[in-house]
Amino acid sequence: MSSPEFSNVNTVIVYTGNVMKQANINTLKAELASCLENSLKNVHSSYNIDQTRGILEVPSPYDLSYKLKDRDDFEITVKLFYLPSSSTSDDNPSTLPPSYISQSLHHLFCLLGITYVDSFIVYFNGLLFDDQDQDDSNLVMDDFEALVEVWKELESQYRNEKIKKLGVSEFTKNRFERFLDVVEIPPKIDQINFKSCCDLPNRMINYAKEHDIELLTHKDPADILPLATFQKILKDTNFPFTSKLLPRWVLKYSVLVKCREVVANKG
Amino acid sequence: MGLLTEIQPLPWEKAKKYANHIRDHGITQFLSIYNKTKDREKDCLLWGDEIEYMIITYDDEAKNVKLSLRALDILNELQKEEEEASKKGYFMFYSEKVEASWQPEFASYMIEGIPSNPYGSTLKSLLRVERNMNLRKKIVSKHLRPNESIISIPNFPRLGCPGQFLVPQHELFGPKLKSLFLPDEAMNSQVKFEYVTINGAINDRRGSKVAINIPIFHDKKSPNLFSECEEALPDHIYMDSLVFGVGCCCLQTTIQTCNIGEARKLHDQLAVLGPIMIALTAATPIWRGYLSDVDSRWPALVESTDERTKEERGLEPLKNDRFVINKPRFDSIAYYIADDKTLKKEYNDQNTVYDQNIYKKLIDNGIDELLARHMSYLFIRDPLFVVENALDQNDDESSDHFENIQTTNWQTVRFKPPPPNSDIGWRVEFRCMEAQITDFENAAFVAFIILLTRIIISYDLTFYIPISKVDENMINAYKRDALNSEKFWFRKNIFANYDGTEDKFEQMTINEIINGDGKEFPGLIVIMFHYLESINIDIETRYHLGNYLEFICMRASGKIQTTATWIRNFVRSHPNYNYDSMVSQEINYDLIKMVEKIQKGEVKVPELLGEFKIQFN
Repeated sequence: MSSPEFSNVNTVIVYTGNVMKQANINTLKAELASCLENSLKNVHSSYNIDQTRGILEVPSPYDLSYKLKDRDDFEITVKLFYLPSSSTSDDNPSTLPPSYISQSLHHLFCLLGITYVDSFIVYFNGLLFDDQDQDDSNLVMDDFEALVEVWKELESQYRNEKIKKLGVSEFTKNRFERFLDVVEIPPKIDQINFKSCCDLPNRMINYAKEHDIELLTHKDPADILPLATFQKILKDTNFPFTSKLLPRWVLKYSVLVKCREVVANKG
Repeated sequence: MGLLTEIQPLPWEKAKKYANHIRDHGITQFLSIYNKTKDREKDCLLWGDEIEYMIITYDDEAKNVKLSLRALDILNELQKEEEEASKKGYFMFYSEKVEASWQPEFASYMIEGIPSNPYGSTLKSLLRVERNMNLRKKIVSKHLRPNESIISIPNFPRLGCPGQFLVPQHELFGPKLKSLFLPDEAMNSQVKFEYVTINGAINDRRGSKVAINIPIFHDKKSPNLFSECEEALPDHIYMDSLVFGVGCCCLQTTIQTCNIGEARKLHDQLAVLGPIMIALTAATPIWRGYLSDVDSRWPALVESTDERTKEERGLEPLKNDRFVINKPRFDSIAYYIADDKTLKKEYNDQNTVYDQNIYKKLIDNGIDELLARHMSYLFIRDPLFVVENALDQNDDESSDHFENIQTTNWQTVRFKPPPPNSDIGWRVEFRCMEAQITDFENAAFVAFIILLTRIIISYDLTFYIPISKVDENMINAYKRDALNSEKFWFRKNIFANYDGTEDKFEQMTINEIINGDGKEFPGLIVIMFHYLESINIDIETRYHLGNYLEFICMRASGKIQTTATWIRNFVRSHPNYNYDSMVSQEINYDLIKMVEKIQKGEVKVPELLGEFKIQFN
């Protein structure tokens, strides 16, 4: 059943809710998929629509009571995943729209009632970490320029005090060196996929120590939201206008209580 | 030159007259502290650990190893060193950093080591735990003679055996312990005579020596009926002194919580985990030279400190004593205390007696029912150590009378109010774990408990089951090979926002509780790994914590042995073992030598430690 008020919608923002309180101990991919399904299934009980801009939020962030009191007690880290179908340009499918940064931040700020995040890490789809890489044959010139464009937008947010620390994901020593040549504000964080089987990546560890970079780990999969999974969720939940929606980005956020190492909110 | 004070503790007959005075003022002191600190918020995560160690000496020619009373001298030297180092730091503004602190213990062959400063408040600090533990052994080693060593297994297998197990040797059956097996010198008689007095109080109050009976392990050639004397239960190893229990080495950890509510919650949740951790860390299969049918020190500790009279134990009708008490002083908790929506009233089902007058006084002074009942249960006990000229105190400044009762209630978890006039917050002390051979293991278990508290708070977990079931779990936890052969009551719906109406609990194996049951119960370690993916953690910390958790995973699954099982197997495969449950001097010598080698990383024991590297870089 299609709803007439959704006819102008061109953008849908879906919130997962606080994953920590959903008794859902699963891989990140599976958790994301099941949370998305949950939110979309219940679209008619909670949503917020901006008719002028054509933006639909499911569920409504105003229905979720996540607004933070005592902002200084918390450390908020976000990670933006640029998905494979992130490009909105048909001519140049490898562009990474920098606008996703301000867009995702805006919605997070609404959700949590905040005006800045402590760390923003960006993940460029397809990048993999390998401590031994001799040259970065993974990254061709076009892609690299796209990264730098995104970074410029992050630098702007940083200067506007919306972000306190900038970070990248899966950057090797070589990637870093190449990057540092062309950006103004260097990344202070590099988040690497942790493989428990392997030894510590000492080359990167030493480089990070020398350049005052926090070397963090994660276990996020490279393809956090495959297109096929997304389309299946749309179908299964009978979400209106399924065929035209493409997943562009995922913003993962963590609200940590400082000096207690307690995760207050994650989604 | 310090102040010389005459500390004259009172013998039991005189001490008991002041029991009400101390209880009364203890409660007043508690109320004073409570009112000043109940609204403390946002205290950071800080934690500490305590390990007890034994000093041993080898007689290689005679193939014997003995406990050494030089522990007392070594302790004095360590404490002097510590004092010097802090003075230097104060006056010279640089310091040989004081990293570890030392305390005496009940047994004179033991010393206790703790970090000088608490760890915290990030998880990165968990890496300091093992380093500090290693450092402690290094510091002590500087004071050891060539044939001496420091080890941390829970008990010395041949304590109390015929022959020489203590050096210098002294005569048995002294006036203080009156033990058939131990000389008085085994008990630490320094430290203001505190331990001596407590020992006397326990035996005098009880009306007889304490009696510890541990079931013997019947091996292929063990005698059919094992009976040593009329005090002993048949088929049990009998011990007749406090020292056998409190002379055991434990691994304890204290955690600062953000406020009183969190402390009460963690007190309850960790209490449920008590039996689980006893089974996981079990390391005490031998008593007085015999292989027993238990793997943990816990039952010996319970019996060795039981000062209840016959009336209190329900063996005779109540005439002189006030109550029948179904729990000894040393035991798992009697009551849950958290203000938690998942704590159903009927879960506090042991109905242990509590002091109604104290209860009323607490309620009248603004304490809620749950906390009032907890305190009035702790305060049914008599103080065991009373100093006449310290009886009059300023209840607004001192907490001595409160601590007198509080610290002689030896429970699986202790709820600790802040000390008066300090910056320290509400804390919880977890007291169940057995000291392991290596510091890798000890650090891993400390990390496990800290991470457990983080996931309880982050995910809103609840482990509540009826207290009677926790007590049932306790009895199963110390049985031989409990980890593999026993099942433990555990809650299935551990996420607090569970929609269903009925709570579900089932008997699960340690493996299922820790690693998951492959179905709906995820397993505590799985949740910990999930938590580690939700926080900002640097790669080195993640790597080492990953090792600790993988290690515990393997212990819980039975893929590698508990220390107790390993010790049993060592004994039973020793060429001189006669399948009669007896651990001879020579077997003991070889065992302790091997324990020392393992501790130093000189030998690989994959059946006990897997492939984990046990020396910290």
